[in-house]
Amino acid sequence: MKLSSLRVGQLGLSLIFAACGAAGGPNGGGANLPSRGIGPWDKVEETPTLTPPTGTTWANPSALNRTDGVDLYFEVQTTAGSEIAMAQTDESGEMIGQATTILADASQPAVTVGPDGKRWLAWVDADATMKVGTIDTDGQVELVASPTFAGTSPVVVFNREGTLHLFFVQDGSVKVSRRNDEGGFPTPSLVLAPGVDCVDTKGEATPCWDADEIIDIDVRLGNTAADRAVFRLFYTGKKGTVHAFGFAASYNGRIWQRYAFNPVFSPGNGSRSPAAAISGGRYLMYYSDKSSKSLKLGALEPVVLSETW
Amino acid sequence: MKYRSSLLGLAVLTLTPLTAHANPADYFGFGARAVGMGGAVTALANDFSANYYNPAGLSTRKDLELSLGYAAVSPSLNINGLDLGVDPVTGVEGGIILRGNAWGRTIALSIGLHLPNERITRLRALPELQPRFVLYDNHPQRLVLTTSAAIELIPDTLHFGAGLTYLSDTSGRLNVAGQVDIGDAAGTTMISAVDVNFDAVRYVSAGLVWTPVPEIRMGLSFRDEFDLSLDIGVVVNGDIILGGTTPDPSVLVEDARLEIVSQNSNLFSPRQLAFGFAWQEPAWTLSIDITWMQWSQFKSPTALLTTELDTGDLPLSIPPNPKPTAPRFHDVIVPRLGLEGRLYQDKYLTLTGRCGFWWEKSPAPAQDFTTNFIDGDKYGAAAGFTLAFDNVTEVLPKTFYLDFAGQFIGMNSRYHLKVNPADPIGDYISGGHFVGFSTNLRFDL
Repeated sequence: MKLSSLRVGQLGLSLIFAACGAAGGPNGGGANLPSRGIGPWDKVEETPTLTPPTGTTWANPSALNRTDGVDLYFEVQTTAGSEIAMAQTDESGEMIGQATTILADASQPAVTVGPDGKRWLAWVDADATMKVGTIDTDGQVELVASPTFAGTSPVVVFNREGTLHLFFVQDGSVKVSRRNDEGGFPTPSLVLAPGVDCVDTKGEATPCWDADEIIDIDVRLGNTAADRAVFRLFYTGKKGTVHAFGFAASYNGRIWQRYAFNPVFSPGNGSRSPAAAISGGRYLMYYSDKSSKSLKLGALEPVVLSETW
Repeated sequence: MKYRSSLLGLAVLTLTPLTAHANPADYFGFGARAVGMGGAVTALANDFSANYYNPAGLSTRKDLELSLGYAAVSPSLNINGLDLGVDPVTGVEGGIILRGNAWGRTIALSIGLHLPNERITRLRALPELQPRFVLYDNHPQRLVLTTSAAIELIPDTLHFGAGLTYLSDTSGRLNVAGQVDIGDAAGTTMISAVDVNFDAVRYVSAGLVWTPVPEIRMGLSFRDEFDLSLDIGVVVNGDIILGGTTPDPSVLVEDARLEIVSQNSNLFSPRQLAFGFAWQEPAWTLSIDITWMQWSQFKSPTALLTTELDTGDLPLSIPPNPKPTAPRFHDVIVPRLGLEGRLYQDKYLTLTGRCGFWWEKSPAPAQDFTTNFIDGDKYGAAAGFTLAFDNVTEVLPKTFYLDFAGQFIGMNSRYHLKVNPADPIGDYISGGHFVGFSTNLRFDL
């Protein structure tokens, strides 16, 4: 049927109705929608205190949530070598205080809290081997275990049963080893390989954005809104010359699935080492920026936090 | 006889296409007496609410009736304990019933109305991933206008009624034609036209009321499914050129075409079959309803976006968009119970109290996969009263009624545990409740 004066009148009515509908209702059922803190992230532009002194590079952050801010562990690189430092942020997560060295000749820190409340640290030492230890209340690090296999970007996470998981990157893939009753780390298993098993929202296979390499990782054991444990993995993926941050998750640490809308954050090709945190009612993501040699921050706001860790 | 012209007018209205449907009534009831009885009135409805519950009831009374009132339901529906701000449903309710005689039988024609006071209707298509209380966030936000006719088949024993309502699908295209300069926007010239169709959709309801003995009354009512679609799009036809601002532009592609179409189910109401049984004593009435609702036919409200691009030899293409995920709803059977009793009576005033209960298992599955069409098992409790005034003034020599009912609908907490650990929304818990009231003034004329 072609447009006629009658149809114009009906169209006008329809438009009025649609306009009434568009104007009606403050949210119409769209208020307080939950967010898991996956993305997409926005850059926080003004973070001057995350910039290190001249001649120093800050990199590879790892974040622990406090009630009033974030405890930020990171690598301090100078011409003399690398060390691991810790600094506390304010509630916004954007301002950090004085950095304190907790471990010399070490790099790539990752920190978590054990079932007994003790802080655990994974790092790479000066001879490029992964280490796992604890941090006492005075900030002293005590070595607990040294895995026999090689890897980078080690991360320690406890599941709800108290089993320590050591995640790390080896040959461009993410692997995990669960600490056994004897305190050792058995042969690791594959968690995530680059360029395979990428699916869209319908579960259909789709080309991987991280086809070439996974460079570094951050893993947390989250609690879903239904109080279910979920391993949350942010990682730096690479395809060609493009680097960006992606997300994957697992309920048991064995079967993993990538986020269908990866990458979740593309702050620039010099960006590495995402580290997720929660503070001030926001999801935060620290990362290192190779070009400025400093730490940077991304945030999700305003959102309703539905998943915590 | 004096009602003939009125009956004729109503008959014309009954057969005229109307933008109408009964969705708020599906969810929150229609008319204060029916709400107060928990909706268990398939055998009993004989006021304007019979337009929805059972049109056959319209011819079971001998009087003309005019009703006017107001109904409001305030939802408090939450995800993870936080209110999603689903809009309340408020509006004027009422109707008129004209009764007369033909061939020695009572016949009746009626209109029932729910007129929202915030909006007449609302169209929208949300992303599939966005959590929403799919049956409540938008569906009740619209005008309800039902028309029915009924006839007494066997005096005081068997009545038949039917309603026929027309609704309107909406389809439209914005047609754009001209030439597109891919090098300089100033060289692009387009003209546009709008072509809109409103195709009628028929919605049928029908019912029977059978009174085998004075104490027992049974009703059977059928309400057909309807599904309004919204089909809108844009079609661009033209040449792709370079140098459109120059005297001699070069044509890269002749008669290129781009068509983008969005189609979605804008409103769905399931096919329903309701059976009602009522036991009536002079001082009290007990009523039971069983309603089958064919929710398995529920279509995804997510828009299907199709794009077609023809650029001749230019190597351009648009990947297909994913189809909406099937919502996987299932049929439900809803039991309802209503009780009504006379509490007080004198020469001028009769007070009737009532209460009702119902239970509805949710037709929606737990949202464990990609969709987030949230619903939960619901239970309703309602109570109400009618004040019937007799012989009050000479102006109103016949009885008039004040009906009031309040209702509470609880939606049980429900866990939605996502199969995919990397789901964009993740696990959540839904639940909530509704609080509402309905009131009517009814006049026998």
